[in-house]
Amino acid sequence: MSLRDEIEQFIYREARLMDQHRFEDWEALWTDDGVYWVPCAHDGEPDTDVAIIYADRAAITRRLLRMKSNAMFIQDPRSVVARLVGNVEIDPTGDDAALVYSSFNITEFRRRGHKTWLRTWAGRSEHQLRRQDGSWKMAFKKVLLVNSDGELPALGFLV
Amino acid sequence: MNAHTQRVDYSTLIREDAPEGFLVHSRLYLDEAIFEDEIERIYHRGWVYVGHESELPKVGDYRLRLIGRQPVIMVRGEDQRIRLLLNRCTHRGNTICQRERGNTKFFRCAYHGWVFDNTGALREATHVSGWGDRPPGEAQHLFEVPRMGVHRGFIFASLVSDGVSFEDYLGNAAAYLSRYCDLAPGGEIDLSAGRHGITVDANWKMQLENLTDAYHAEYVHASALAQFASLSATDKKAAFTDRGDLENPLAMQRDLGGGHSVLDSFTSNRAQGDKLRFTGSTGTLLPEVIEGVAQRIGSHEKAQWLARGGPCHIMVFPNLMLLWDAVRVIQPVAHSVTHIYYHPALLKGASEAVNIARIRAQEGGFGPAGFLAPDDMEMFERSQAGMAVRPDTWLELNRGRHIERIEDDDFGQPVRTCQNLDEVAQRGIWRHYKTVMTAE
Ligand code: FES
Ligand SMILES: [Fe+2]
Repeated sequence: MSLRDEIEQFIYREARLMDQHRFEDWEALWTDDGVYWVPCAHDGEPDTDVAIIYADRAAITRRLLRMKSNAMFIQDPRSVVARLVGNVEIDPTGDDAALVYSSFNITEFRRRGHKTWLRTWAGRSEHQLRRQDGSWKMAFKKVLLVNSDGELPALGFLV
Repeated sequence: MNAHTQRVDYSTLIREDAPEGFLVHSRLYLDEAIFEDEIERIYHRGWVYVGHESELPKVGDYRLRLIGRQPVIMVRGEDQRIRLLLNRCTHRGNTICQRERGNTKFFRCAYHGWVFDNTGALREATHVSGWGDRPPGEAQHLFEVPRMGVHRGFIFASLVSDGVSFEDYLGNAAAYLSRYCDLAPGGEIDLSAGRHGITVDANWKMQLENLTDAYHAEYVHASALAQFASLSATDKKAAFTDRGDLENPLAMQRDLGGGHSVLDSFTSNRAQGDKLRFTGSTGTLLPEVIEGVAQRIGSHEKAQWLARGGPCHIMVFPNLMLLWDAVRVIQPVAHSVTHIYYHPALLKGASEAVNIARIRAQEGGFGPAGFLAPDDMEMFERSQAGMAVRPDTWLELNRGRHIERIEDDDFGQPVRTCQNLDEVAQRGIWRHYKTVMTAE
């Protein structure tokens, strides 16, 4: 497989695992020092600006523990989500490392009792990938939601 | 006010001594006309929190804010003074500022080019010859909100020039706001780290009632406890108890009057010594903060007492809330839509490590993907939907009514008090609400 094929496969697989709420499989995509960042202000910095999510590896695990519990009420029942990921651009940053830019568009279906609704989420992602023992892992992921600076509804699934 | 809203008789919708106890009618959350009435009476005639001085460190810094429905530019002028200017051109009413934040010397109206400086003064009316002997001048300066009150950097305003004074409005809550700031080595908090914004399909009053509702925590936030899966049951409980959130004989819920309320966890916090976590998730940074406070006030003992008491949950009617690491502001949008903003409250004079820990703690709890706030939002939306199932029925707020008493708080202020999990704070909100909504 070409580098492009390998990395695109990784990005698409990550998208599918998130769509399917496969938290443990998704967690396995991270390196041990992974950092996951969803800023509020697109030009913000982690140490000086509050983020929607800023999680080191331990905080990623805690986040997933909450998501796996059956008492996360914003996901009772869970959203059905389907995302399209595209515009994949790859910048190799070493023999076994790459910076990957992509865009996503997510449609979310939610139900509460008799009420159902569809919502759209969109944005761009930046992945720093590293090859470890032959497979690609996420060392860093930054997600820029188009509306991150606005008033958002609860975000209960993975982006 | 229109004829329709005049028909609402609030005294029949809030019943303090019904045979069933303290009752509030569902209609108060569901009715558009009542919402309009609230905006007029509570937000347009009363005092409202608008912002914090630390958001505008430099001359020309501004933030766009709403007082009820009125858009105001909160701006630090050339003369260093902070003003609240209506976002409305004095020529023909165009809004002059479209960005939510920024820094500027001038606001230029895009419609006919009038230019106002950052003190609100009209500096240039274009093509001035066209007005004959009455060219635009001082009378065309931007409108300034008539009353502004500042307490320890918290900026409040009232859109009317008469009515309750700022001091009377803050009342017993002032001491709590001060205490919150006293915990910073520099004696001030700093809201410069930005904010989260959330939109909720529910009535704004639910967030007020929720802030000092410790009763819901162990149920609604059960999934947040799941992150402590590796902890023993006792430690899990401690993770909440040190925030004054569970049944705890040392933690009190207090109605401060004026609609303000607190979950007073000072005493229960002090019982924990240096284990308190308002400096981050572990509490290890507390001694450093105590040291900083001691340097400011010149007494290690007093600093220790202050810091070990920690902050508590404070709700200042109608829209400001202080939590452990965060300042929360609500903005009513419609009877069933509310915007909520969360700013991390940094401690001035504290180390970078302390403030980063506070930012991380706030992200862990709040914002659209936090561990706590989204589940509260879900409850508000479920309540909004559930109340509409039988919109003609009553909600009850009776917890702790049999033990409700007047007791001195940490500042020696005699206030209505119950235990942590009770509903005296919620009753207090409604007592005040009734007074405001039935006035004159
Ligand atoms: S409306 Fe502003 S210059 Fe005319
Ligand atoms: Fe809550």
